[in-house]
Amino acid sequence: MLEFETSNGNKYAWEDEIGLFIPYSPIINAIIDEISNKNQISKEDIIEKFKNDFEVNEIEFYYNWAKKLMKIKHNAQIDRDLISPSLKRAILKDGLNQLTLEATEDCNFRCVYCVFSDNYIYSRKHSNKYMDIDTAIDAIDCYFSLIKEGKRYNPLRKPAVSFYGGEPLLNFELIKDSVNYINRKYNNYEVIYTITTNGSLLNKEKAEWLIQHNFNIAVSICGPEEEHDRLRIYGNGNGTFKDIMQNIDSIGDTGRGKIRSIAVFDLRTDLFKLEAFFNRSDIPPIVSATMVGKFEGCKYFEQFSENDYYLFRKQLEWAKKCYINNTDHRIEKKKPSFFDTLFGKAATVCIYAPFQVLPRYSIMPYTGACIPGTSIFADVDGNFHACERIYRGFPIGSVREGLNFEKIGRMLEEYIQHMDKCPTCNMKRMCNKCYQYLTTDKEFLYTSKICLDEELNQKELLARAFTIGELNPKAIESLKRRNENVF
Amino acid sequence: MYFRLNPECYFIRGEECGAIFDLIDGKAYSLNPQETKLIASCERNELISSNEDLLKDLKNRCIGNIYENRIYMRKLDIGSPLLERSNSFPQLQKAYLEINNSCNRTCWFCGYYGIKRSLGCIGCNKWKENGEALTLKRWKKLIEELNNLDCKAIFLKGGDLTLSWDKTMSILNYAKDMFKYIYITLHQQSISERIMNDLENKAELIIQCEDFKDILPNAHTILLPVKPEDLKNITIDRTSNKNIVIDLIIQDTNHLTNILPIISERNMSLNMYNFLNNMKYHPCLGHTLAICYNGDIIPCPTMRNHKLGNIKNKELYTIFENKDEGIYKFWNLNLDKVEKCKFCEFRYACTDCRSIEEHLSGRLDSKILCSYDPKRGTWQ
Repeated sequence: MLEFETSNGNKYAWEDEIGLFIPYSPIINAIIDEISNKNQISKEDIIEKFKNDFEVNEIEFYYNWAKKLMKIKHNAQIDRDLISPSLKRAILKDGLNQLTLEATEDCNFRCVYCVFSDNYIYSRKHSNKYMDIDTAIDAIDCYFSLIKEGKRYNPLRKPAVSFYGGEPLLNFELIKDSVNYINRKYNNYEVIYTITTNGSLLNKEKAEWLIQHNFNIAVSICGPEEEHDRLRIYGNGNGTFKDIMQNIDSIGDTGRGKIRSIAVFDLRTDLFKLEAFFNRSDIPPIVSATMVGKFEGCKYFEQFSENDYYLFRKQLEWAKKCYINNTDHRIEKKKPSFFDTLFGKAATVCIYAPFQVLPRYSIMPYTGACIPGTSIFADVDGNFHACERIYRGFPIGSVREGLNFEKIGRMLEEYIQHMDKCPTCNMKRMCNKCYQYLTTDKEFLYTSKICLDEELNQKELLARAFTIGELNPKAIESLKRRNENVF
Repeated sequence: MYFRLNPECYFIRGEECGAIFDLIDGKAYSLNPQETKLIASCERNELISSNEDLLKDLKNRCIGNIYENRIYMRKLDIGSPLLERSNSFPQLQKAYLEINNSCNRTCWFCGYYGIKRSLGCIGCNKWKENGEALTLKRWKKLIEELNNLDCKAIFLKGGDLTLSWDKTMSILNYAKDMFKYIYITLHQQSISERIMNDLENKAELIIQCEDFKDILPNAHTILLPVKPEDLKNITIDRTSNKNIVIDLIIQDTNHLTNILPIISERNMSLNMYNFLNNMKYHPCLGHTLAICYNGDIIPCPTMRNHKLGNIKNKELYTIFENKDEGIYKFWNLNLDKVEKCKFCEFRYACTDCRSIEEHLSGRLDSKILCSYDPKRGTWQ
């Protein structure tokens, strides 16, 4: 069991074998151990064993409860359809969620934390490579051919095409040509378009074209000018904030409704300034707030001192406190704040994402990694990868060969072989580690080497989530599907 | 002090009363109005007195516990509401395959005469309909298409399948390793040694009987059609005839009395998966479809007026392409959307036959076959 304690002093545990959060008492752990070791042990024996440390009625309650929980464990094993679908069928049914085209490896920014900078030794670097339209068309044809083949397994899936970079708007012609091609050749599909841009080239004309073609536009904005310009700069070192805001202002209120902000912060970020900034009505709603990525081969964090870590932690604790004490206020707000995204959304995810009762997919039993092919990332050269974040040493096909299911199978096999710590982990069902964290540019990493502080981090996340839940369950249950008369 | 139900125990409020459902032990606890208010207050995390007898009783039954502080309870669920994207593909569980519409009998309870019965869906029926039957080739292709959609259970039925026995057996042999459950419905008079040998280990047999005295014991289920007024004359010895199921004839509201099993207070068989499923979907129509002999698709074999398309010349998946209409309208008709049921605390543990309800009232969201009054919390 993974035990954690909220700020209000309540103890809970995550029982990974079943996939259930329970209010925790030390007696339940002891009883489950006893029952697991000696299946026939009676209630009377248990009472006799623990009566000096716990009240008898508590022992009785937790004995009965432990017995009940064991029933789910037994039933789940029976009920799960253990037949593993073939890899290709699994991808055709539940994968193909998005094709991401890397429009270019070029970027007009040199953000200090960029994953393509020298701070990340295993990632590709900026270059002047641009995807040509033939490669884009081949990737699109390949994706739609799989979508068509997959219809018999999943007729509800809508194809989604996304443009990524570098800065994708540096290759705006490719974006236009690709969309026009899709509209001509695949006009019987309702396609979802997305673009992630730094915003500097998102002038009125481009924005109008994207909006007219129903694009969801994600713009990287890291807070107010001083915060943003500390992290996101041009090659000459100048700040980029003013240019982005000028573009966003020129788009107007209607167009701005199609834009979302994504923010990255580091240990020197003033979180409260970001909170105030993203609450402004002229700033697009924030949908993602993440710390600079810290994974294998990352040197970015070498610049920070112990004091930086200390001060950031102190600030984060204070921000959490402020957020938690204001959850009532938050519910009424239509626009999510930076803290909602950073704390509220994270809390909801850690409570609602783990699989309950049934085990995870049999093809990918450990970690939060997807089955490659869930999405397809096509790089400028036309090679396919599991996503835009994975290092480039694990291609899963190309525009020439298509999606290569054999390569995917081998990749999965090798990946799972490296999950040496996972079988005994007590938070398997809530793990969100994936390829980005568990690879270098050439090889997979063993979880026994990488997963060191995970339990501690997860306990902290859960404690925060349940603290919010205790104070204001509605704040955390925005995804709750049930009505007011169901408890 | 605070009292909270365990995560596996759901408290459902009706208009007047509430009920607690223990999803692991499969038990339902009905509460009176006063108890309902108390548990509602507990589940809202409000301060209570620990001396309440009800709370002590619930603790003794391992339904909930007393806590010193307000706590947060994440209820038991199945799978992951965030990761599994349960709506991302059609979750077809059960399909009725009406292989033919031919029969030489004139059974008094047949759909041919417009008779409605509580288990007409799994019984055999002939319909006053025209149309060319699907070919064996098309049925085999349909089997593959159902398998592609991960359908778990198929019901092969007619008409009288023995009139198309070679075709039926070809379909059955083709399907036998593709589904978790396969059922086949035959009239009692059609059963022969040869038929039983043909079916051995390939499908569960559902036998349609005409009369109590005709009952054969070797079947998964035996359907016995009974008129409401005759029900009092029938006694089934459950110890030796566990598999006999009363198939109640419900033609109109004239002979309905509150003692009929379909209407009266009943033991609800609570199942974790069904209960959580029923919160979103109709308990019977959810995840189900029927393929008529001529390729028409309908939500249930007895809801003949709701044609959702025809798959004679197109693939089955096309029926599922539009999430906002067609089959999903019936799947998503959970009892929160049915008048009367939406006020009832038992709505996620109850059964319901939309086909008969619609037949009796002319409306898809009405409820006649129930003697519970959720606005008073009483059985009549």
